[in-house]
Amino acid sequence: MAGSGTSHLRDGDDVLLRAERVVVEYPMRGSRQRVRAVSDVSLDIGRGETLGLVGESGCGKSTIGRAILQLPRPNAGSVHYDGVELTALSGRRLRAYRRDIQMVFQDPLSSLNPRQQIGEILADPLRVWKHGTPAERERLVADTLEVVGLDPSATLTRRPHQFSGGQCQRISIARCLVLRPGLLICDEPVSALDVSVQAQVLNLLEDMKARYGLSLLFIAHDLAVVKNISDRVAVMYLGKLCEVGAPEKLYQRPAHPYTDLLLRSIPEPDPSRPLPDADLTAGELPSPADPPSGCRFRTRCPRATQLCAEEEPVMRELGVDHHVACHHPLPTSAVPAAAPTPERTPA
Amino acid sequence: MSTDVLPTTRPAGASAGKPRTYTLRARRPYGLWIASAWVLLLVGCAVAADVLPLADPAKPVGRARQVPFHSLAPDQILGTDTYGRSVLSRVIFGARTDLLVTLCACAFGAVLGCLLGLLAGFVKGWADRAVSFLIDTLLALPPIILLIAIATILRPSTWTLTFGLTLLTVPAFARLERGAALSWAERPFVLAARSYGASGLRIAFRQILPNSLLTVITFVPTVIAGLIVAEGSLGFLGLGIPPPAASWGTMIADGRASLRIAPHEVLVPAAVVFLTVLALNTLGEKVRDRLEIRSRTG
Repeated sequence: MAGSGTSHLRDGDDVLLRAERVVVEYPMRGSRQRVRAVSDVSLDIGRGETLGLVGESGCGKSTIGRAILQLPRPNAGSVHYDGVELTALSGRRLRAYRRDIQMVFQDPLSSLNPRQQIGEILADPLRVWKHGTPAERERLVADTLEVVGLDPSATLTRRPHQFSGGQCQRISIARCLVLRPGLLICDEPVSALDVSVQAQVLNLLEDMKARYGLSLLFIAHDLAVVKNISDRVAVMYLGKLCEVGAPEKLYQRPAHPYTDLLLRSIPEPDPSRPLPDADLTAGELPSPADPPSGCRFRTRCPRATQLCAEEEPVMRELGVDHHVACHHPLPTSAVPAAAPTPERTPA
Repeated sequence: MSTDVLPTTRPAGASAGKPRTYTLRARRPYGLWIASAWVLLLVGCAVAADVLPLADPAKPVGRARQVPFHSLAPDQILGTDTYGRSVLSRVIFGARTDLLVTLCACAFGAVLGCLLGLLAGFVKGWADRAVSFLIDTLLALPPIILLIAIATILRPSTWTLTFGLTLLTVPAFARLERGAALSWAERPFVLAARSYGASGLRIAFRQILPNSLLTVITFVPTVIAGLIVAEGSLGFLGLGIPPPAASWGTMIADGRASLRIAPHEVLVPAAVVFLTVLALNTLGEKVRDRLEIRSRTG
């Protein structure tokens, strides 16, 4: 899987964000070597669309979210937002574009400055951009708090530690919304919350998306959470994209062996259902500093062949809005004839 | 607060009688109270020295080298020194000099050190290397030699002393602030501030400094305690506040000659220094304990 290639990208005016061949490298401590946290990943998000990005810990999901914001700037590749190339901007112009892309983080409490009151936290983005008079800012902050379901009079003068995780996440979302962004990057926004609160925050995100016409990049490690909220789902493994598709296709007929493995790993409250094959789930994630040759998933893939070690698979179309980067994808109903099997390997 | 224990886990002996209750009570912080009282008393005396019924610390009030309590007159209760000056009056006016010099040095050092530390911890890279080099250089010089050099080059005065002591505190504050800034800069709220377009300066002073300052402030009593000791050593070497002004260090130095016949001349200021340093260190430690718990939840 290693999905390089850009065949899954769409063209047209309704694409809000187009990240192409993005590479993010980090220097390794005590060596000249560099880790490729994100390696040649391309993705796009349409206006008003929610893209779910899933993968296990350390596969580079959050890194790509930050790369879109240019925090840090990607080492290679392009990030096109609303017709502007973000990687070419710097200084004040970049800061001006960043405010159109806002981010919600995993840890609700440490997303908020513990020494500031909620009113100050929410007004700070507006003050940075000298938006309106202090009175107008105050009104906008109070209105936004109400929209995310918090009572302004009980919230404005309190500090973050006086709120629960779910409330903190609502405040974080409100801080994003005061700037009226076009794209919201949600980096595992519900992973640290109780299940009941998770649903509330997910519903809130859906409401906000509809209300403000937002596009969402929803990063998560939980396929079940992503399924309901996403218009499109992208699966990542070890800094590469494996499979992109509409959730109904991807969840019912996964083409990539890794997607299949992830889906079968979702625990179901049904004791009669057989547990996933132990062989399938075995094996650690290889180090991104020393990734396997060819397809990066081959060390854990049941369908791996010699070809997978030699050649990196490229993203290709399986059907309408369903792309996979695999030499031997699982047969899907969409392209029954073209489905290759490991025995008959297409060159 | 009492807690009912589940019946199954109740010890056999306790099951017959009334349910066991557990009391959660914090130990009363007597140490903290005593330390605060001493520091408050000292600061109060130093501030009100002019209004208190005290003799002029530079003028004799009676016969030389009177032992403490030979007379209960307020000026002579702690005895007199070699020149017949009141020891009590000199200790209190000495407290004024000492506290003023150490507080100023601490404040200057804290401002300078925090700015350097913030620069190093937030900007990183070249700034961190430059600041770390400066700190290491300052730390490599033995403090007493540094102070002697400063006192020799510049004329000994209150300001020279303050300048020398400031140089001593800068590395400590810079390191504290650097470490705190490094860890706070990693928090998501800093990333959020970047993503809504806040400038680096705004992030440093509005997001990072207010948080990291808490760590730094808790070390202020400890630093002042160290400075009082440093002032004492300098005064002892004759490089402190020039006479006839009183400071604890110069009092100890002046009393050295008559240590055998009038030990109180040295012992009284030495005891005051000891108690003050102890009180400040206790205070610093307790404040740190409390704030640590709070910063974990907040």
